[in-house]
Amino acid sequence: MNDDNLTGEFLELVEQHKKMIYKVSHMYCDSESMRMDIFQEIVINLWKAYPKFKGKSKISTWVYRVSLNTAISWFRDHSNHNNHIEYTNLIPGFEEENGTTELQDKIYNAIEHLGKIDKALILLQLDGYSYDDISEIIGITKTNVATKLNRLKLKLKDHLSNN
Amino acid sequence: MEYNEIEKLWNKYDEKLNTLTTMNKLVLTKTIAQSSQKTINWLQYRNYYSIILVPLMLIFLLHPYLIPFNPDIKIIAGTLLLLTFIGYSIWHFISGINQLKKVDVVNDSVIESVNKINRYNTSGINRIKAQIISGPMLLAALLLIVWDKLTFNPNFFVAVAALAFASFLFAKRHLNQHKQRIEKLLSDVEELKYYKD
Repeated sequence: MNDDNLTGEFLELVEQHKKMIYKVSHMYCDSESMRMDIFQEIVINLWKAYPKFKGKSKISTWVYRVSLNTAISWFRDHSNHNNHIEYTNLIPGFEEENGTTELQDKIYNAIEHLGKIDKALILLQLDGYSYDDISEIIGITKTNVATKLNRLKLKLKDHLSNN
Repeated sequence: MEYNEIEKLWNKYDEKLNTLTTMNKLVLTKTIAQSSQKTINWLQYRNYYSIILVPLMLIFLLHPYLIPFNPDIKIIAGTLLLLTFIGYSIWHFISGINQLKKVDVVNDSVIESVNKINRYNTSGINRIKAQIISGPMLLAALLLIVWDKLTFNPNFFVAVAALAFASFLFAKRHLNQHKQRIEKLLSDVEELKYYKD
């Protein structure tokens, strides 16, 4: 496959998964400029790994794994502003969508207090992923996923009722 | 608010995200074209830089004292202390680079990734400890090497006092950062333990 085809195919992949990447960026960072940095980092990591993607797992599972891992380890690069490009218009007009900001604030505030892995679990559960997929992305058994999610829901319920 | 309500809000949010404007493909193409520039991240770059810079700087500063080698016990002791400091620093920087290289965002699961980051953080904390502990050792090494050239006048003592004060401030800042990093690491390790059950 030549470079143009690969680039075109990759851009299509990002287009299809932009919502997912955006949600992950939002989940792990509360500042808009850093979110854009994480978004950029995820896209770059996906691009670097894309030619080696062997299709062993579903493409969405793979994108989720790369996105979550990049977001969780983003601290390694967050001081790197030398190569920073202005990405504010990577998703133009996104924040201005009617009511989206308010909605996302409510949701992210509710899960803000959770740990890194808990956040990943709840994000995958909310996005409707099966226990098998969650187990593959997180790296724990299916039974463990079910147990942790039940406890997590109770923890969230407690937290929300106390606030 | 119940969990079900979060689920409803999430679905509504997800629908809203469907209406977002098409991504700027031109900017995205530019991003991926420039991605090779980011192969070595800043922290790795800093580690490589330090490995080369620290010994070079010390050799440059001390070469007038080291070249006409005088087998004086003070110079020998100072040089040994200095070499120990350099070796220890290099070992820490290399171990930091190795820990960073182990983080594989493509193939690792979230748990593996967090685990490796924790290991990297532990090595970072050890590096701060080493810097704090080896600071006086470096100062002693430098003083021993240049001992015979020193003039013990009031200016010298003022300079030493100023240096000691600056080192104290530096160490205090480092200790605070160290404390914060340990607290953060402990909470991460606790979370990881919970998932390993």
